[in-house]
Amino acid sequence: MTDIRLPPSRSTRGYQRWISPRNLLAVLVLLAPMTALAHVEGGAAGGFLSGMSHPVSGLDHVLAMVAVGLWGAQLGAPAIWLLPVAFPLMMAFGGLLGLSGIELPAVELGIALSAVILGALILGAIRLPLAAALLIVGFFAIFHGHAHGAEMSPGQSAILYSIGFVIATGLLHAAGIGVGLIHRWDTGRVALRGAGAVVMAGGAFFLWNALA
Amino acid sequence: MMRAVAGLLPLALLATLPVPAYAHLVNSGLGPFYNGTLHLLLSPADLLAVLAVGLLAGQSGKASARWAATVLPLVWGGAALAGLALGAVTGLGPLQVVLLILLGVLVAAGVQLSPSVMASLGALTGLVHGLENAGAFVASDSGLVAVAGAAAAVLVLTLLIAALAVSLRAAWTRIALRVGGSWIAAIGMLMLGWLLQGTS
Repeated sequence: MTDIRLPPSRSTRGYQRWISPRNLLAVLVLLAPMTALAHVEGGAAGGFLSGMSHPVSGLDHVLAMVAVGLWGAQLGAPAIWLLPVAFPLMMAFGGLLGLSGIELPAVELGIALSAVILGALILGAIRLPLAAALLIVGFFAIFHGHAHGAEMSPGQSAILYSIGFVIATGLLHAAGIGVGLIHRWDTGRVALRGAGAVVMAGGAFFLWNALA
Repeated sequence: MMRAVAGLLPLALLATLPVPAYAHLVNSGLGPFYNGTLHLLLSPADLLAVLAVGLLAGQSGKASARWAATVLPLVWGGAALAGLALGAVTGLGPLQVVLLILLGVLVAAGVQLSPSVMASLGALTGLVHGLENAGAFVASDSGLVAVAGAAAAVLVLTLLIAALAVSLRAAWTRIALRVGGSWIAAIGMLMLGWLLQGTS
């Protein structure tokens, strides 16, 4: 077979001209991996901020937290402060179950149902006995804690995450109570029941998603 | 008997493995006394315990608050000094967390403790936290002064918190106190979960 050598074309000569040690070095430098900066915020502040933002970042969680405050305000003393005392305790208990590896059935369903039922109770201005109110709030708090309490990003401070998480949850209750204080006026009572309808509708949306 | 001992030997060896202490004092730039103070102020677990004791003591009344404010810093400092002299004690994390839950639940329940019981709880809290923190002071050149700084911080914080809690008169402020207790207990429960998971 005859070895055919083609004369270098003009474009090939140009290509060879570019292959110099200096340019190769430049290409290698370009290929060097860059820092990704794609890690979660580290350090103490990162854990606290992560814990603070977690309850606020999930609308299903926000709806239920605010609803607890709204219902407490609607029921009046002592429920107005007993419900926000009971909720963090039971929520943390749910978190403890989750962290201990104890599974709960239908967690997302429970979270969505909490908004539906709390919203319905506010909408209907239903006054249950204190023990029953505590039981309902405590029961659903376990699901919220189980789902959200254990979702800490790796490498963050567990205690500061927990502090941030509990404070944010408590502040959501406080926001609910603050809004719920409109209950003392006639128009406010109607508006509060309207807020219950909004919570219930939001819960129904999440319930639909959970079942889909 | 010998077989049982031989079986336990690997476990015993495993238990003696060194673990990172992460227990050095923060340099405040103002000397060992303030390094000790800053150490306490930058330790959330220790701060929470002081907060819980202060709230419970204040809720329990003036006499209990005085006892707690006296006993907690004394035992805290004494335990840290004992740890400094005899070697730091580690692995008290679960006990700290259980104590935090107990203190938080007592505040949330609005329990008023007698001075003797309050002093005992304060002493137990001081003992557990002082011993655990001794490891940080061992690394310091002037451990004794640093312990004094940390104990002084415990004293000032306990006094301030207990005094604030004692002075609360309005109904909503007493309720806020109990809500704070429930938050402390909730944080303790989550911490217990992290400990069980091995994350903390």
